[in-house]
Amino acid sequence: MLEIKLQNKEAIFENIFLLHHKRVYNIAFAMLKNIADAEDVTQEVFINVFHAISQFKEEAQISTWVHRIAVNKCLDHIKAKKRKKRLAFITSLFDPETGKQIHDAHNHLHPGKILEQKEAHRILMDAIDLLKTSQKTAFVLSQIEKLSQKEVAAIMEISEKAVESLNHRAKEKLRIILGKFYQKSKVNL
Amino acid sequence: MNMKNEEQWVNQVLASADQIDQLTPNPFLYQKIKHRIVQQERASSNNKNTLKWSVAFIVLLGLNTAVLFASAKKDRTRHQLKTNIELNNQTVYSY
Repeated sequence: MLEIKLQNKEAIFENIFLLHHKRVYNIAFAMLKNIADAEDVTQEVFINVFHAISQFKEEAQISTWVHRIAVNKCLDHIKAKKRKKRLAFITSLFDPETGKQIHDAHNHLHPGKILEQKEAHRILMDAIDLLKTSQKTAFVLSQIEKLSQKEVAAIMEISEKAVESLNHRAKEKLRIILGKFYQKSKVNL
Repeated sequence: MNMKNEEQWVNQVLASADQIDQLTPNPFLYQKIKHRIVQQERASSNNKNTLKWSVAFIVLLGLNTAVLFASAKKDRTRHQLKTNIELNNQTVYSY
């Protein structure tokens, strides 16, 4: 347990925030594809961190611990959103034929990207969204957030080999999804 | 040719993951978080106070009930003792 850190919880919290908030926010954005949701989840992550600082065990790195909370919060958020979508389907907020949300609040065009890259990025993010949760998490952390295989393994609490395998399968699946998308729309960039 | 185009396009889309700039969060994010923490702590302290008052009320109510029962029992015992004495006296007088 962090005894010294308990003495000045607020200062420690501020340090953790300054060091990790950008990455947490970017992970949340990559996972949720929505700025408002990403900000909301980032807030929840750090509130959680603030309350749990005293329980933090130094066996893990702070960054791993914070990122693990972020990933778990994102997954919880996705689950909650799916539940809401099911409910909204009943209340006719979705197109009854396609099942798609009529008023989709997604704004997954990455604000930091230039115009020509926007479309490719949007398509990639949509494709990532179709991956299995574990593949999606591994892909976002290693390919988008550029975390090392070791870090991703620690965050996801799996072996490095498992991360490698998840990434490999994610890429394969993405190729299939994108190939189908290409065939369907005959996109020529 | 079409296959090549498709592969090229898929690679291009996959490579777009490497060109993503890091987003900068809202500059007031820290203040927002602190505000939520303060709000949560206030709510939790209010809940604790409500709980404390509830417990105090229940304890007080319990004590009152116990005292009432005890005094009622005492009255009954005293009444019974008085009746017994009167009965005894009557027995003594009847002799």
